[in-house]
Amino acid sequence: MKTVRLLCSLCAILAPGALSGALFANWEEDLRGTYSSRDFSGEISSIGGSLRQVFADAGGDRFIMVLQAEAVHNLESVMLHQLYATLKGPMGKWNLSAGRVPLPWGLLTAWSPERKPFGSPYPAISVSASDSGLLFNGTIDTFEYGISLTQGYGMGAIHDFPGPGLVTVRAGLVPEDDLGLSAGLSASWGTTPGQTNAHMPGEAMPEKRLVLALDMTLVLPQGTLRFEGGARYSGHTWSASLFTALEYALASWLTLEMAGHAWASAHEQVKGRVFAGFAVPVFGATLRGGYEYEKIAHADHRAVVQLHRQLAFSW
Amino acid sequence: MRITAPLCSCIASLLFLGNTSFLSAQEVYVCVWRNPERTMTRLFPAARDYRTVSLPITSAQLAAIESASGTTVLPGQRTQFQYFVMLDSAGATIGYTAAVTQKGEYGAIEFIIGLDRGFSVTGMYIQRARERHNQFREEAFLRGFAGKSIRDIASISDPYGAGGNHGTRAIVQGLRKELATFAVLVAR
Repeated sequence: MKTVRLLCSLCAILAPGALSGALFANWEEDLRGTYSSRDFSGEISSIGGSLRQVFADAGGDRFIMVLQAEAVHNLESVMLHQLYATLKGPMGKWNLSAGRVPLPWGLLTAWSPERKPFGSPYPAISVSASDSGLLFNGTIDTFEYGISLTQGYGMGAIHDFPGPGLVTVRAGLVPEDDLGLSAGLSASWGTTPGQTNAHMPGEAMPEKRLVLALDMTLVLPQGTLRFEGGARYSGHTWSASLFTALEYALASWLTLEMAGHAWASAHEQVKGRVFAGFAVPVFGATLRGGYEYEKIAHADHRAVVQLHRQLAFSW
Repeated sequence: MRITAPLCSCIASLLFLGNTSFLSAQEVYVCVWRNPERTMTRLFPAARDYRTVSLPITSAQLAAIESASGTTVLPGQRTQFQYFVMLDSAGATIGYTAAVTQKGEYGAIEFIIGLDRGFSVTGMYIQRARERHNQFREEAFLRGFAGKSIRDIASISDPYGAGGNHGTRAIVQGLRKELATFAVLVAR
């Protein structure tokens, strides 16, 4: 009976004049200036946005299409982050998406470091934010889940079909959206491109690995503390990564932002970076500044200034 | 300091992207609802599904909303109104939910309201806020607005009175604004 109802919904959506819905758009501008021992420069770090079209039938929202893209590094290249279609189940208990989908991983489920002026922890554990394939996810009361089966090329060029393969799963608990602790467990097995930084496109050596991670988000009255600890097994070697980020409102106009990331392989020294900075609202945008100290082989400590603006529209 | 071509392009881009809005911009309050289904289920446990509705707001309607609510609609909320129609298993409307954003002391306060078919408040949940004082989060405070409808807008006030703060006043203003918007755009 449920299958018949689903098929009827699909037919109703395709019938002329049967669709209703809404279109949402998001636009972002990210300008950055960097000062380090090697360079002093500024750039358009990113300009881009997303579109989300919702189609509804008589039973509710049923079909969603999403596109997210950005032009990076002074508009030198265009990155397609997401392009997928979703068949939505009742009350979001299940959703089936196909295309370049966001991977159900750790803190990335509800947050991204890409618009922050500090380094992302994800290259250290070879985790991509998105990949091409299928995603099955949903929310049931306080429990949320996601399972994806994707090609393993990330946001890079697709060389073959079906591709080397990547399975990613996450299970999370979100007791409250406001104050309190939420947590999740993630696992990923398969191949990812070696370069998983969304702002550094280009070819890289693919890597077959197993990654496990625990993520936690603690929402405080005036701030948010995020943590993700992961372990990666690749090439018969284990490596670990610990990441934490804090946002705390010191005053109505001033937010403290701090982040720390440490990672190490079995036979290597511990590497790390620490960031401390601020965020201030200015004329409809956010001005961020801070200093990132690195403890790696070719350390490049840097001061960063960022101007970030985000606009949203709907029709 | 070495003025590089990229640095110049950064400055030029900043001015270009900003244009007139950079010089006269206000903070834009756009509600980003992080996970609608979880809160919808709490407000309407009997709902089977929901439908997203986005309505344009004309200047005349905006004036009517601001007059009825006694508050100024914030930038980013003045031209479009989004809400959700909650549906039962037969596809019939059982209520409405809407995400509200209002200015607090430390930034935007985002909360969700549920309305029954008669446009009376069935529940409210805080979605996101960073405020020093937490009275606006208390269940007793939020529950006090249950039953208020689009016919009660003028009587909705801060129960703490002069003892209230940015948070409690933001909730009251946001609720009045949202009920006025439903009255002008949906319940007509």
